[in-house]
Amino acid sequence: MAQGFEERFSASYGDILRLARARLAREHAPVSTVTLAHELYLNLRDRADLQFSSSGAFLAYASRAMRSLLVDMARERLAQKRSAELMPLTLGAEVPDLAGTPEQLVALDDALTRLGALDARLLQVAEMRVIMGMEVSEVAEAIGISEPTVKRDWQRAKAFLYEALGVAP
Amino acid sequence: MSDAEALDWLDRLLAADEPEREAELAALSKTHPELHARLRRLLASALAPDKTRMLANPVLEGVTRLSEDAMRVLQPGDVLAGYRLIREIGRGGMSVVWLAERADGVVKRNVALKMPMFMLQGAGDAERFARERDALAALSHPHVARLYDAGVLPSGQPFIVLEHIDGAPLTVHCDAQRLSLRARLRLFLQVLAAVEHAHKHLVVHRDLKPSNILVDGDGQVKLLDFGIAKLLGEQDPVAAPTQVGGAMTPLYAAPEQLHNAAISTLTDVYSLGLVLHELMTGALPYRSAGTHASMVEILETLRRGALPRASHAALEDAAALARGRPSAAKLRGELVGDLDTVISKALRIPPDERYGSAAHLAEDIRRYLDSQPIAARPPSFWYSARLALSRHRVAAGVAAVGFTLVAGASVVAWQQHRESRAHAERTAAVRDFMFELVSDVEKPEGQDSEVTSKQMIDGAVARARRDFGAQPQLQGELLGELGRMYLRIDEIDAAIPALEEAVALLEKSSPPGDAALNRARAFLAAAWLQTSDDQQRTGTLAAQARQACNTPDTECAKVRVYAGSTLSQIASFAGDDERALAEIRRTVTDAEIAFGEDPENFAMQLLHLTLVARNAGHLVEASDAVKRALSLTGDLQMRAANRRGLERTMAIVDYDLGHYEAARTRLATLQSTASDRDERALLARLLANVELELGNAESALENAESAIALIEAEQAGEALAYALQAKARAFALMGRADDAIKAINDVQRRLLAVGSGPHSFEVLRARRYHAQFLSQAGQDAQALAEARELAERHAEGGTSPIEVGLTYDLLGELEGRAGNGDAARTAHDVAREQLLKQLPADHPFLIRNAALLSANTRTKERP
Repeated sequence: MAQGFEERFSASYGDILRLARARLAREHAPVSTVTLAHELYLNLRDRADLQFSSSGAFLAYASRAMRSLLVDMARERLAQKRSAELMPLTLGAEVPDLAGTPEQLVALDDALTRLGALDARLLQVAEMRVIMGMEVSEVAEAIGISEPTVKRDWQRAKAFLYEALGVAP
Repeated sequence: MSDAEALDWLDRLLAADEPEREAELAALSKTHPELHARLRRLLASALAPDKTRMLANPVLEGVTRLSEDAMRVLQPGDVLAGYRLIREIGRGGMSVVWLAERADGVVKRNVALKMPMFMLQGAGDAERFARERDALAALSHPHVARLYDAGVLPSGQPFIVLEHIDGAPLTVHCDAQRLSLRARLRLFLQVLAAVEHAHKHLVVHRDLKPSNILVDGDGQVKLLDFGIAKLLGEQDPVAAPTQVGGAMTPLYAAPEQLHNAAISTLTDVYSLGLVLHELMTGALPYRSAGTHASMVEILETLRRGALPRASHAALEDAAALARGRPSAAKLRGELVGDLDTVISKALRIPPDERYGSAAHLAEDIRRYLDSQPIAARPPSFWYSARLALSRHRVAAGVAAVGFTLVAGASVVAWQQHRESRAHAERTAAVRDFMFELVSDVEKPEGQDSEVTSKQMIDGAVARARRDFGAQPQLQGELLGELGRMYLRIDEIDAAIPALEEAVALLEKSSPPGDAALNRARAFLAAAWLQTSDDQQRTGTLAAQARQACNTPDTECAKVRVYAGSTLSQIASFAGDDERALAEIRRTVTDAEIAFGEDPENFAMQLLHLTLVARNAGHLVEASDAVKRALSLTGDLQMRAANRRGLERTMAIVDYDLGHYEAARTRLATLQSTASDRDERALLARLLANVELELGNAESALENAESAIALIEAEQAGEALAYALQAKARAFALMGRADDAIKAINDVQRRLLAVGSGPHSFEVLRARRYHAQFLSQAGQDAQALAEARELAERHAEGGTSPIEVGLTYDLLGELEGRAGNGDAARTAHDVAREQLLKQLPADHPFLIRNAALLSANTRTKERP
C-alpha cells in the first residue's frame, strides 16, 4: 500500500490544497480549522477519481491531506506573524486558529517528515493518531495490522517525536 | 548512531520484557554510553502516558466523528426537514439530490431534496439565505421548477426543497426526438419565457446549462435551480460549475463570471446563447468538437475577442441527423445567415453588446421562425477584422482570465499588448502550438473522464520538450508560459521544474533584457517564495529579473512588478520592514506603468504598500497610499471583497492617525452592509477600538461583546483576546476598574497561551492597560511599579515607538501622582520623542502628551 499511496497522494494533493485556498480566498476572513477540515473531508469523499479500496485507505489519505494542509496554514500564519501589525488592529485576512502555535505545528510536521523517512508505517500510525485523533483500534483497522502492533508502533513513533520536538518524557 | 538504528533498538527493547530490557541496557551502558543514554530517554518517552497537549489532543479534534455524523450515509426512509427520502437521484460536484415525499402524508407530493456539501457559517449567512429563499420561492411560472422551501437543518446542513421534475435535459430530448432546428427553437422559446419571468423578478439564474433545462413527460420545458448558486453563496463559478469528470470546468459560464466581474441578467443571456449554440449544432463554440472543453481552451477562445460563428463549428454528421438533416454540410447551410447572427449576438463578450434581455432574444427567434427580418445586425467588417487580427496578438499567458495573479492582485486584466512584429510572430507560433496541444492531449490510462487542467498542461510540457529541441528560444518561451499556467492553478511543484527549464533555455537563447526570460525568472522566484527555504536564492533571482528587464514598456514593467512584489515579501518574512517598504515603493512606481489602464490591479499594489508602510510605522505614507487607491477606484466596479478591503484599510489608517470620527463612519457603513460573520466580527472589534478612543464606553462595550459573540466557538485565538481587551478597556472607561483588571488578566493569559512571548508587543501593551486599570482602582503603588518595569523593558529596545510613547506617558502620569515631578517630566519628554517618530504633531496622543506635561509643570509650581 505504501508505494501506491504516496504516488496517489502526491498526484492529487495539489487539488486539495487548491480547493482549500480557494475556499479561504473566497472567505477573505477566518475560517475555522474544523469547518475547513470538514469540507475537505467531504470533498475528498465525493471525488470519483479517488477510489479507495476501504475506508481505512481513505483515512490514511485524509490524515496525510489534513496534515499537509495544516502545516501550510501554519507556515502562512508564521509568515503573517512576522509581518504582523504593530498597532492594536489587525489588517487583512486572518489565518484560522490552529491547535498549537504555528511554530509548534511546523516543528511537528518536520518531525513527522523525518519519521516518515525512517519508517513509512510509523509515520502513518503517527499521522492517524496525532492529526486525526484516531483510537488504536481504529488505526489497526485502517492499516490492517494488529492492535498490539499499533500500540508498539505508536510508542516508538511517540518516542521519536518527543525527542525530535525536545519534549521531556 | 543513526535514527534508524535507534528505532530498531527501541523496537527490540519494547518487545522484550522488563528483566531482558534492563539486561540489554545495562550491557549497553558499558559499551556505548551515549547510545544508552539516548535509548533510556526514548524508552521513557515511549512508555509515558500521552499527556503533552500537542500529542494528546489530536490536532483536528474529533474530525472523524464530526465527519461521520454529517456523512452518515443517507438511507431511503430517513426523514429530513419533514420529508422522507425515497432514493438518491443525483450527485453533483457540490451537492447530493434525493427524491423525497412529505413525511406527514398530508400532501402527496414528490420533491427533490438538494443538499449542498457544506454548512452555512452563522447568523449573517442564515439571514441572507432566508432572504434569497423568499425571493426564489416567489417565482411561479409553468416553465420554472418551483422552489418550495429552503432551510438549514439543526446540524448546520443547508437543504433546498425543489419541485421534482422527471425529464431529460433539453439537448438529450431534442436529439432523441430528432427535432428539427425549428422545433428546437420553439422549445427554446419556452426556456426564454422562463428566464424572462425570473429576470422580471430580479432573479438571475447564474448557472444555465442543459442539465438544468429539463423537458418533462408532457413535452414541457422546466428550468431547475434558478438562483441556487446565489442562494448557496457561490460567487465563484470556477469552484462550483458543471463538473466534467474530475475537473470543474465552467463550460457554460459567461466571461464576466470567469473573471469575477459583475453578474447581471446579461450573464444569463450569454449562457442561453451557449445552450442555443449547442441545440443548433450539437457542439459548443470552442476549438474541439462536441460539448467538452478544457479551461484553457475556453479562455484562449475568449481571449481572441469573439467566438466563432455557429456555422463554422465543427459539425458532425451525427449531429445533423439528430436535427433531421442528412449531412453536416446541409446543417451548416441552414445555420448560415440569420441563425449565425442571432447566436453571435447572444454570445458577445462585452455584456452590453448582447441582446438586452431574454425577451429580445426571444423576439428575434420568433421573427426568424416567421421568416421575418431579425433585428440583430451581423458582425461588422471591423468586428471580423478584429477577430483575424487577434491571431497576431501576443500569447500573453493563455490563462489570462479567471485565476488569481501571482503578484497577489485578485483581479484579472484582459491583456492587450503592442509588440514588435518579430515578437508577435513568434508568440503567435507559441499560441498556435499550445492550441494544438490542448486539442489532442492523450488521456492517461485508466480514466475515461475529462482530463484535468494539470494533466493537460503536463501533456503540453511533454510535447514542448519533445518537439522543440531544435528551437530552444521557442521551447523556453513555451515552458515559461506553461509554468505560469501551473502557477495559475496553484500547482507550484509542477511549475518549478517547467520554469527552471524555461529560464535555462532562455538564458542561452534570448537577450538579457528579454521580457519572456525575465518573466519566467520572476514567476520562478514567486514559486520558490512559496516552497523554498532558501530565500536568498529567491531574492537574487527576483532582483536579477527586475534589473534585466529595464525597458519602459508595459511588458517589462509587469515583470518588475512581479519581481518587486516577491522581493518585498521576502523582506517582510525576514522581518525587515524598512527593506520591504523600499521594495514595495519601487514596485508601485513600476505598477503605474504596468497597470496604467487597470486601476483595480494598481490599487491592489497600493494596498500592499499601505500594509507594508503601516508595519514599518510610516503611517502618513500608508494613509496617502490607501487614499490614492480609493480615489483611483472610486467609481470603478470592483470585486466586492477588494472594495471592502480597501475601505476597511482606509478606516484603520484613519484610526492610526487619530481621525476617529472618519474611521467610525466608514466602519459603521461597512458594518451595515457586512453579511459575512467573520467580517462582522472584525469590524465589531475595530469599531470597539475606535469608540474607545472617542470615549463612547457603551458603544465600545457593545461592539466588543458583539465581536466576542461572533468570534466565539470557532476561533479562540488572538482575535478573541483582542476583543476581550477592548471589553476590558470599555469597563475601565465606565469606571468598573475591578472588572477591567480581571478581564485584562484573562487577556494576558490568552495571549501567552497562543504563543505570544512575555516581552512581545501585544503582551506588553496588555500589561500597560493593566497598570492603567490598577491605578484607576486606587492601587497606585503597584501601578507605578508595573509601569516602571514596562518602561525598562522598552528601553531594551525593539518595540513600536508609539507603544513606548504611551507607556512613558503612563509612567509620567503615575510618577506625577506619586509626587516625583522630575521623573514625570522626563518620562513625558521621552514619550513625546517616541510618539513624534511616527505620528504627526496634531495626533490626539501628542496633544494628550502636551496636556500631561503642562499639568505636571503646573503641579510643580504649586507650593
